[in-house]
Amino acid sequence: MIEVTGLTKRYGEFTAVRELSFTVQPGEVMGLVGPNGAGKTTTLRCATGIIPPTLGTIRIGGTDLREDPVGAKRRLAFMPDEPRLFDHLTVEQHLNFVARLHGVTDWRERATPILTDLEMADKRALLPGELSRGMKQKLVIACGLLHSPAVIFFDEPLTGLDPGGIRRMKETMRRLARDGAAIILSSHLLSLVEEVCTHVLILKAGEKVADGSITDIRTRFAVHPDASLEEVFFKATEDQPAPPPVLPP
Amino acid sequence: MTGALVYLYVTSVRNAVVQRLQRLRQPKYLAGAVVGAAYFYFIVFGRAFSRSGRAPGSAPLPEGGNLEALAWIEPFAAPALAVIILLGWLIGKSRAALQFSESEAAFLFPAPVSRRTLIHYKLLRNQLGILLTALLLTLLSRRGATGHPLQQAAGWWVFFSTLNLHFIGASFARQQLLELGLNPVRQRLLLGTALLLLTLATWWWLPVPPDTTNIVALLHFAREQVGQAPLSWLLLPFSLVTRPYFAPDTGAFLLALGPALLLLAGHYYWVIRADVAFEEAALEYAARRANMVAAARAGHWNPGRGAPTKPRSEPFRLGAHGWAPVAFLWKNLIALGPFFRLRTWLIACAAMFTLISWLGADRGRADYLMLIVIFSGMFSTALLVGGPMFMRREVQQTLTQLDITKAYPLAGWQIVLGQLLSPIVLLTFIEWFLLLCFILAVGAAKKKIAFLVLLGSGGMGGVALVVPPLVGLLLCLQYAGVLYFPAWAAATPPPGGGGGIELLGQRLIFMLGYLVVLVVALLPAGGAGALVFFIAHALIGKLTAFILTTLTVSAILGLELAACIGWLGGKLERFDLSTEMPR
Repeated sequence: MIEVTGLTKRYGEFTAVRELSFTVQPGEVMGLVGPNGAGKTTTLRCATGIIPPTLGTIRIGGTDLREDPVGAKRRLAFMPDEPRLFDHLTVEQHLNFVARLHGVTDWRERATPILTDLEMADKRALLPGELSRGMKQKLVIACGLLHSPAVIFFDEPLTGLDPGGIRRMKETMRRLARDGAAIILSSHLLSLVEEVCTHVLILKAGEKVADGSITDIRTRFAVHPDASLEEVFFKATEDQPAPPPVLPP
Repeated sequence: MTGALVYLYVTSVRNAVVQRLQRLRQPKYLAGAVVGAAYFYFIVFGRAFSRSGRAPGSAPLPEGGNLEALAWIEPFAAPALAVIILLGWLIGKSRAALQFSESEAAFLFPAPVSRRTLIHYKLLRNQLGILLTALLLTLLSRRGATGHPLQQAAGWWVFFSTLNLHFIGASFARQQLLELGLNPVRQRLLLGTALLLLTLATWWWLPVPPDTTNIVALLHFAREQVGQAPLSWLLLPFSLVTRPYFAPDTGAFLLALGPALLLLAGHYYWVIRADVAFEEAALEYAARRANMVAAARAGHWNPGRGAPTKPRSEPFRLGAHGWAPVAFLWKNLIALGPFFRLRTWLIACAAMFTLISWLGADRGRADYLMLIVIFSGMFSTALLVGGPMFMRREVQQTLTQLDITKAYPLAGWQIVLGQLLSPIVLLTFIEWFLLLCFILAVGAAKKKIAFLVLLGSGGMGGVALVVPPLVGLLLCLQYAGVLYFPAWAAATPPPGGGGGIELLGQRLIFMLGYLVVLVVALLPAGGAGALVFFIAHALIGKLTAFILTTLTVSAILGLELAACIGWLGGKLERFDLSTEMPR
């Protein structure tokens, strides 16, 4: 479970995130959406312990991130939008390295189904330089899943994936949630959020605009019951959608 | 269209200057600029404009010493230029070498701009660098130069402009030959053969030098020959380029400038009239350069090299359970490659042992042993002080990887230790090797086996123990610099533009701070070591005192290292990456 209470992050005079509170229960997938500069990345970085919050508390699986950062980080996995891999480690060596960091003694047994599921079983001996962008992304995911995290953060997970990869990634997220993981998914792809997430948190200028299940949010903001999340998003953030392109005659 | 290119050029330069000036409002850049300016004033300008041609406070040069040196250099300038140019033809770029940035290529290549205009644009851009280089070299070479500073600046400008145009023209010519079906290898073979024949013919023509064993006599002979036919004729085009710089007075300069400018104009005509499709090569260059810049900003050691494609052997088997910092060592040793393994070190030690034993077997080879003693001692000292600074990039990667490492379930000190382990291990093993060379060579030179054994055991057991914590402490200073002054420790100049004197000043301040902290860190260990040596020497004896001293120093340095890693770990945990990285 992820519990964020009163999260505030300031950069000098500028407040990137203000008094943000939310909870993600096991089995839930929360979509973190908002326009550019809304504070999504800052929220993710604070929640994963990469940067310290100015105020507020973050609990990962019941462990306070400030009081016991190592304990909290043992329970989480962070999948950044840009796969940052070590040039000289093969796929398998990446998993070995992460296993040592997390103390996963049976990593070989765990790695096999993960790699098979991600269609990377035959790529164990390859270096990142030999992998496509999508494969690199999958390797990041494999590393993240190796220690069976209870809390998972995805930052734009579909970047660089082919249609097959996108479908599998969505299924992976759903399956992880079914298995009891609490997931936060940050993305600009509102259709993805609508498809995968059970809950949505809409941020604007560092503040929470809306938080709740997709149905609740739709009821609160939509102009009609069949409104898409895109319509709800623009309504909630009070931005006008981009006008349709003007085609030359 | 030319107006747009001039606008792009002028605006870019103006904006870069404005940006530089604006960032001086930040204290870190202002302080750097002040120190950098002071350095330039006292070291570069002071030397350039002082009467003696020396930096303020330094001893004056002997009368006429520089002019004499210049007179010696001048005859060899044209041959040197000839070698540079011929090497450029032999090993230079095989395709048109007009270099555009990615953005220039993206905007200018699809634009309705003629090739000739693009060439003019590039030549204009190159001129800024050439002018600055000419100015800087004039300042640096003032001490030995003759004539007015402007005359020298013009001399440098003629030299570099001609060289620049020649290399561009040469690359165009090679591209044209390529388009005619003559591949680069054949081009080089043809040119190499022609040069070889010309060299042999000249060699045959030249008289035999009177004394080949006396290097001064040989230089005199070479100087004479350069001034006589056939070499003087062969080198004429090259000497036309170098003469303006070496002209002793204004009259001679103006006389030399005319032919040099004519030659420059000829080069310009050659380049501008060449109808070569340089776009493809320029696009490749732009992409390669963008990758290199990105890699350098990411802190990679060799940005010119692409991503590796062959897996490297593991230095040892990494168990899934155990001390987490070892995982960093394992990872970094894999990245360093198969050469950096224990077996390499053992082979090197065995080879050195064999070599020194062989050298020690004959008195006549004693000089070589002394060379090993001197060089191993010098390298060891230089590496101890400079090694951690050399490893700066390794430590600077801390910043670029922080968003990954801070997500690991590790305490800050574990991450710090993990990142420092590989440079510590690497430098320690090199130091141990040099120490071994030193001790073996001293022992063999003195022909004292007992001395060898005693000093060896004492040295290896004692001094060798001091090395790892000392190296670790020095690396901690680098690490602290990264965490406390992240902007100053940036591996590459900020995206805002270039290096400049402010960054030079920042590095000077940083280096001074490094030396001060180093002295402070060594004081407790040095003091305690001296005390132990004094007491133990009086009570037990020299060798035992030496061993006890090294053990004490090593223990204190070890404690300091542990404290430093703990302190840096705490700082790392509190370190707010977001203030240094774009949100």
